[in-house]
Amino acid sequence: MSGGAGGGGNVLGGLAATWLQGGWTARRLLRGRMLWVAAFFALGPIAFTVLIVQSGHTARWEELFAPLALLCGLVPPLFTASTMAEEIEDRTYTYLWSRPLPRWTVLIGKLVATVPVAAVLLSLTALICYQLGQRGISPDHPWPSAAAGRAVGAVALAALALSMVAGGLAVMMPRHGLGVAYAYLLVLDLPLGLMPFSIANLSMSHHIQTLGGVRGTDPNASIGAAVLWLVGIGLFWLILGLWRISKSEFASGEK
Amino acid sequence: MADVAVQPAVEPAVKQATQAVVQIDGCSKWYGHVLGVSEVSWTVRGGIVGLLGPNGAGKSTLMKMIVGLLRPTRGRVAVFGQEPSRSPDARRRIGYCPEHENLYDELTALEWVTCMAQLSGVPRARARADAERALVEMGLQESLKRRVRGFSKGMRQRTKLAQCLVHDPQLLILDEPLTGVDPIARAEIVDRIQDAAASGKTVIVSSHVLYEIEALTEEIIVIYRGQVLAEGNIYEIRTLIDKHPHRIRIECDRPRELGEGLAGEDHVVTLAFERAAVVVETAEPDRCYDRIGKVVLERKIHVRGLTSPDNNLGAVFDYLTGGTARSVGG
Amino acid sequence: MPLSGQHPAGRAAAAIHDLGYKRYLGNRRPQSTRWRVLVKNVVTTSWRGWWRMKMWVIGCAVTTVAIGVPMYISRDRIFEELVRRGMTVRWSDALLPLSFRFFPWFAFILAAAGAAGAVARDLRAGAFEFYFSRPVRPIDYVLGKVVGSAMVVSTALLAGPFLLSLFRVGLARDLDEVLPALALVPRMLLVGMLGSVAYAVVALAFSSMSTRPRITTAMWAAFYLLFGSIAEGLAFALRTPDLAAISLPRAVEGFAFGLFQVSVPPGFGRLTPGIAASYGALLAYTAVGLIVLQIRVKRAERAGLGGG
Repeated sequence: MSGGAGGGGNVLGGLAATWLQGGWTARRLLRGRMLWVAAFFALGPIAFTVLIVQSGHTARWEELFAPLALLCGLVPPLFTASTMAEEIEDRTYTYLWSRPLPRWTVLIGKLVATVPVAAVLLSLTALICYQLGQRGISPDHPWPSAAAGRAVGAVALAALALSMVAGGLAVMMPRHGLGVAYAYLLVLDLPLGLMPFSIANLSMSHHIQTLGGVRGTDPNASIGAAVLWLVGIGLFWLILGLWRISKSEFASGEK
Repeated sequence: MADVAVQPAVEPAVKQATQAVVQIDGCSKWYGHVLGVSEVSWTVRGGIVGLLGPNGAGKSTLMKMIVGLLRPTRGRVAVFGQEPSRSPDARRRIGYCPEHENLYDELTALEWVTCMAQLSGVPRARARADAERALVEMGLQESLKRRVRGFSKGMRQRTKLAQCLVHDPQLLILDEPLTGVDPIARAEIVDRIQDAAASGKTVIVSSHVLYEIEALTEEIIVIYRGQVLAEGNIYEIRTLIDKHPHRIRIECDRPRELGEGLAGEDHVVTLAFERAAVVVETAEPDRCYDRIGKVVLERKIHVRGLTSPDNNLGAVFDYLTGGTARSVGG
Repeated sequence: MPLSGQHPAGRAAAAIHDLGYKRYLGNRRPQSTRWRVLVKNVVTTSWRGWWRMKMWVIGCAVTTVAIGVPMYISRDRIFEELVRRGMTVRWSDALLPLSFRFFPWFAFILAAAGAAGAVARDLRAGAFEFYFSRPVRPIDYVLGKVVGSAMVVSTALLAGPFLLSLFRVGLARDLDEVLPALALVPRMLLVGMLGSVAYAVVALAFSSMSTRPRITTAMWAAFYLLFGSIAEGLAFALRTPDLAAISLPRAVEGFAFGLFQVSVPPGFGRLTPGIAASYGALLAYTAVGLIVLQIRVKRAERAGLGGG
């Protein structure tokens, strides 16, 4: 390495840089405490299902899916907002941005790592709940067709969309990224989902419920529209985050 | 400020280079209402250059602009002829060691440096071997597979230096690399930096302690409150400070009478009068201050203020050398 | 004062002169009031910046106004006519406890932005070394943090409801209406105070469980949102309304509804726990939270924890 004047490394393309950062972020995530905390959270919906079934009560799909939808609001922000905000707050971004890679890859690289981990955790939880809850099905309250597939699809897509929202918010407000992401979901998203008319379309929780086969405020909501809305809302915040990351220097605001 | 080239201290190869490694033209950086760096112009052509200044002087801001982390509010920064914030090709040739100590705590030292090597564009097949070599050169062979979470301050500094060198860059930007390391490790790090310079790399190293820099180079640039106070050879700067006529501005009710009392002194170089003040330029400040006191007392002159516009450089230099341990703020 | 070793011949062989530290001889704040320093610190820190407190206080103010307007309108003759035709509770009175369905949102966010990471941030930054190298006891620290955080949370759970109750008094047309309306004020204050303390203590207890503020904030959010909604779900499924008191916002709501004797008919919205269960839950959360907080702080103080 010190054999001469040196030439430095090669300029990394966007894809290569994203992939590399995704790999290292996933390694950090799997070693950190956050995964265990999220796994502990996932026990909530499972315990709820067990309690409902054990009590001999009819297991309604919408009741079982409600805690799953809330878990979707907790886990992806925990992974994405935390890793992105820590990068900025701990100033380790200085190692990344002084290297020959495009800035946007830092955020996308995080998503490449956190979305699959969150999606797998949420999908596993959904499948376990589905399996355990089947024993409590009553003919009076039938479950939607292909409930397991719909639940897995809903939570996986929720992992993607909510990670994009949390990532965008974390870049914009690194110190309070996680808190603001939760506030966004509680104060804005959940009440919006309870609104009638097309206003509910702005709510991610509304679309997650539609995908999961739960009839919300709009019984005629289509799966295709829900997917488009979810991805669209996620992309909106992600693009804001990418714009901010390309402009910001985080020089005086990281502390 | 004049565009003065700082001469390289160590290797002859770079002396012949004609292209500037770093070229800064009239750069200013504002953080909202706070001025970080003001109208700095500076050219580095090679060797080791020490960036000196008290805490908060603007050293890190200047370094971050060279690395491309910050964009100047005004002016232009070029590294190897390219703007670092826009050009990945320029950043490819830079190794940066920031002043903070945060690393990815979940990774081992070897993994962390391998990660940084890969992100610098070192091929995957070579990255691990290069990282191992860089860490061994920094004396961390015993701790390659330990997680950095448990590292001491000194070990973190060495790990940071390893990540900075791992991709064999041409320009090293080291922000206070000797902070928090013990004397033995310090000597080793100084050796490594000098090795790097001897092999043709350009090194810009910052510190607020002069003797740390003296161990590395005689070429320095002194920065204070975002402005360049002095640059060049450290000993020449010291001589210049001593020789430089010292200005004293005295605000009083009868400036001409005070001037008259000082005019006959051999150490007084010039006298300039303002409406209610006299500015004395002297070669011997201490004698001049004594004389001012006497004249004021003898002639019962009412003095409203006494300031020295040249105090900054002297005070900063004293602070850096530990001469008077005066705090210059900042 | 010089410390010297005596030479056998009688003169001093060596002396160490303490030229640095001299004991402070001026007035000192009494030990019993040192927690107030922490209270001030918690409140001023929270007030700094937009996202930690100001934004949510504005939200509360908007909510106060939003509830105040229908309260004003409800005093209209049309509503009185509706009351004459069979409405059991005056809308203007019922809106007061109903406001506790909205204010807890902001209380949750205020606690998430401040209290839920407060102790973790101190642990990570090594602030415990600063606190406990001074004559500050763990109990002073706990008291300071709890009162400070409760004051911050109370801008949502106490200030808004209190203003609404005063507004209700102001809407009274005669003395006969003023006296019953005045009785509403202490009830609102009681719910707000108990709720604020419970929110602050529970959030602080979570914040003492790790040195990473983001993890403790997530734990608080999971407890509040996930655990709370599971409790509500179980209460609904098992037809046991009191079980919903496990959910902190439902406990506050249940306590308020109980105090105001407002009953929500079955099938109209969610289940509301009874007053005894709600009051018990709030007290239990406060007590358990305080115990956890005191144990964790004491342990950290003994371990000499600092730095992340």
